[in-house]
Amino acid sequence: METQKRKQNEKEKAERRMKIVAGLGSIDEYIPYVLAGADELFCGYVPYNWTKKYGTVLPLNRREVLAYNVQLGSFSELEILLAMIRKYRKPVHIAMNSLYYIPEQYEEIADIVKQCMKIGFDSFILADPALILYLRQKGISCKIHLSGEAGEMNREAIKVFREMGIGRIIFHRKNTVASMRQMIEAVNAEKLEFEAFALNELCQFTGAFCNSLHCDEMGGYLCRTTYWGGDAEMEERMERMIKRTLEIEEQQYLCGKSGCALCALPQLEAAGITHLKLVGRGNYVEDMIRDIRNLKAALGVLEENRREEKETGGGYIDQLDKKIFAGQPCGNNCIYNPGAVSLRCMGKKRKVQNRKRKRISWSRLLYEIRFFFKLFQILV
Amino acid sequence: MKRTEHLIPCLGTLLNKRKKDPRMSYKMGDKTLLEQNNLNAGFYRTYLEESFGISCYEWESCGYTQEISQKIQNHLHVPFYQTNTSSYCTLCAVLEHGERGKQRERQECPAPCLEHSFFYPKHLYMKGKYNSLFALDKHLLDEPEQLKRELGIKWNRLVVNLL
Repeated sequence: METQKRKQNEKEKAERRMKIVAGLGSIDEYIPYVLAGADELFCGYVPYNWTKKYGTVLPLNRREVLAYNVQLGSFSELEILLAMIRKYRKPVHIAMNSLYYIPEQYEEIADIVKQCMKIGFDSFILADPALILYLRQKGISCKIHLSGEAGEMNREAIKVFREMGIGRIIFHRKNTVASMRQMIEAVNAEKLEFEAFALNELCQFTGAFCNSLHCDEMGGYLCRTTYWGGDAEMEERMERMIKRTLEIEEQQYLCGKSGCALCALPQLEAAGITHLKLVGRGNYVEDMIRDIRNLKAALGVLEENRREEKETGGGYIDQLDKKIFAGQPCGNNCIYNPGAVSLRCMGKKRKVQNRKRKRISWSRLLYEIRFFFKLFQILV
Repeated sequence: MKRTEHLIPCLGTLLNKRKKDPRMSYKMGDKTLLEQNNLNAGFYRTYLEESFGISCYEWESCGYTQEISQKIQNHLHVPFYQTNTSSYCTLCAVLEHGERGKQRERQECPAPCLEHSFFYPKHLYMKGKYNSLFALDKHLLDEPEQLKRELGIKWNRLVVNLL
């Protein structure tokens, strides 16, 4: 009786806990990632016919490359993956999250989706509103996760996508925890799941508004192209930061060095986030395994703390420090700023206070009054 | 957002997605595939019009020919086009932390863009201003006759963006 009760409690705890969603670069990685602790996984699937016709000019998802191990390329790989899913019971979502497609591609993608659904893959990560609309108009009732590349900006945008039958919203990286919380509260969250980025690949720009090329030929991303500030003071700051960044990059493995939200996990959970995204298709498998284990350990630390401590983050941060970073500085590459929480940053603890909004100045007020008066004149 | 008597919603350039990159000349493959995007799909335009009253679209001149439906109002932004945009200010991030990636939501704008920009290698004709990266469409400046031919047929309005 007691054993049953304990098992029931553990099951409920596991269901309440935020789930880890890890990126898969090839089917060989499925079992190691599941054993490391991933609850769900996602992968890209690009059939050879698509690559032959469109190459990387119009890719099927945001990994616009052929030279890296980031996609599944054949239907038989999906079949093998399905056999593994049946045994280990951790689902895999298929990413088709390009920002747009051309008209002739929608029917082809719908056929690919139907083929995948036929063998058992029924959840897809999509970013193009036209593709979501097309699938629904054709009566294809797959589960759709709205990709972070869709760039949902506010609660009204989420309501529009919810009407299209979205099952999960993946918040993009350039969101504060407060705005995610407001968006979750504003929509009917009963049948919706919410995913947030937790580890790796913090982009400098918003994915939804990144129209530049990310392909093999370019050698690097446009946002990483060398730039300079044109001002001595700015140059000096950038030099210091580049030096520190190179020091971090030389370290063989550092959890979250390219983007980390471990400190913000209590706030994400309180906001209503149900799933945590661990980006890493194409990363070294050993590093991904460590990332999954660290994220799982961080979630374990979260569970051990009491509710009051979770929201202020005091005890949680200290335990995270010991368990994951062993007292060493982290990568200082925070995805979210959790507000009034003690953060570990460069080995020093600092408190980030919630900034109070300053009073509006008289000149600003006059400017706004003049602006609305002119607008009123135009409308009338 | 809905159409009203006085306001006509217009789909802006950030929601009109296409591949734009000053390094496009190095891209291999059939680049004619880039001439279309999802707004060439009639079902999508119909949805935007019926749901939001959008019957007007903003485009950017981005270095290659774009296939545009002429059944709708189209405005062309010249000569700069956006390539990357962040929700937060990248200039403030660099001035505060020395790194463009360390951005945060700000309550007020100290307007660093009045004095600072990001500069790029000359051959890219690129500049980082505000929260975005922009590139110059040299093709347009080298062949202005093409634009003159298209004005009034393809484009109802020209928007000159000098950043």
